[in-house]
Amino acid sequence: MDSGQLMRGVLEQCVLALIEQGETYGYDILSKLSRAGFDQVMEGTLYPVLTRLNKKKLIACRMVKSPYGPMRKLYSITDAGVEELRQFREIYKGFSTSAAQILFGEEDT
Amino acid sequence: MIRDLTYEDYAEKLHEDYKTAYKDIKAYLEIMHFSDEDITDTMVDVVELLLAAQTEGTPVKSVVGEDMAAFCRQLGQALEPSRKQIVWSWLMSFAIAGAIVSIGMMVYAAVLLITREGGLTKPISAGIWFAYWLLLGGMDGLYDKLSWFWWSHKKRREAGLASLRGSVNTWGWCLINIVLILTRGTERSDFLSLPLWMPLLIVTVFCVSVFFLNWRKKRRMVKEKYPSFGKVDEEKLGWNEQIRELREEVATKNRERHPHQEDMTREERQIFVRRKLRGDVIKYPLLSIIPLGIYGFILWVTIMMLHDGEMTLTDFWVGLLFWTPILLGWAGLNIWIAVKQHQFNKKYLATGKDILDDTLLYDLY
Repeated sequence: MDSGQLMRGVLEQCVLALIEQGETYGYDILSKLSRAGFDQVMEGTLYPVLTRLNKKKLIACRMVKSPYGPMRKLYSITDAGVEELRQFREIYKGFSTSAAQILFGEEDT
Repeated sequence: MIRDLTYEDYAEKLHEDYKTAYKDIKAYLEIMHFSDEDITDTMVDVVELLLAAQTEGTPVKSVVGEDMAAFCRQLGQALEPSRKQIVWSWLMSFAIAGAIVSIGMMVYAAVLLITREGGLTKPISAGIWFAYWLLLGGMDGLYDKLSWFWWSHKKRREAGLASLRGSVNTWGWCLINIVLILTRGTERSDFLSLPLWMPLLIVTVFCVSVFFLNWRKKRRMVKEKYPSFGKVDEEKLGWNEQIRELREEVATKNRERHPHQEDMTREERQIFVRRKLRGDVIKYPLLSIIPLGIYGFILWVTIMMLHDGEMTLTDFWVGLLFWTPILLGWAGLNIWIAVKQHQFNKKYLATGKDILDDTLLYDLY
């Protein structure tokens, strides 16, 4: 079964959560996502997500010189981003509990 | 501020698969988005990403995936302008065109005001309005024609028939209008009088048309020249032979654009570029000020002829006061550009980079 669709559904918020952990850059986000099991996420997918988040002003971006030479974009979360993430976490928690009840027959504790 | 090295310079550090991936991505984005300026921001990120992956030994396919076209398409999504940006871009072109019209009208109104013949509310004649527009538009044509003599064979060839045709049209209309206005003498109010809002309406129609035609042109180019991009998803040709072919096609076109480079040794090219750099610093301001001066004189004479049918001492001072700052500003701007270009290119030469690189040589023009 293709898990890509599920992953894409939460990718934006996952990226936002990674940025919330501290100022970071594209390759670092990509590596963290890959380690977390988001193997199908490539920079090509990540870049539009970062652009979208930036356009929505959920993250801020500044340019610094990278150790490899070219300019590197460093992303940090904004107050609006923190709020967005907080709301998503609440929704996701409720949603995943409901889904688990149906899928695994778990009781609501 | 002089620009730092470009992403293309840093891309030189990429090897093998990373380099191939870089070229493929660049070719795709260039073809799909046409403007190098538009893709620069994305390409800086791509180069940084590939360099990081290369340094840390991450396989390139772990970064870009198996399907290069899908990867590029995702990147391209971020480049697509939003509706807001499209509207903004249109408004900007409208504002620029409107500003040009407004300046022309204000000059005309100022002349009338100074000479106590009317003010901003006075209807402007179609003849005068077209003269302003066509003279302003004709500046480019005159500039092209004059600079033609200084241009290299390559530059002339690039300018091509389209530019020549455009200039002939512009100047043809311009001359017709000048003749019409001059022959009508002082009867300016009787000559197709138009209210002030009319030029703005015409500008609006013009901007919408240009925007629509550009959009259609882009769509047609994508459809006619690169139909294979639409099928990439289904075909999934591994590392996408189609993109490789397109890259070859772009490279071939570049070679066709710069045929003389093929025959030059590296040393000859260095000499060629250095000579060009020295020439540019002097040539740019001169090329700007000469046509603008002639052009300004024609416009000023036209206005004065319309005003009184003859030039008075007041007319002379008004014209002088109006044109001198514009001429000086224009020349100053071109001197500044030429000096910056010179410094930037000198910096390139100092890096020891092969100045024969197609892109760099193209930038020099």
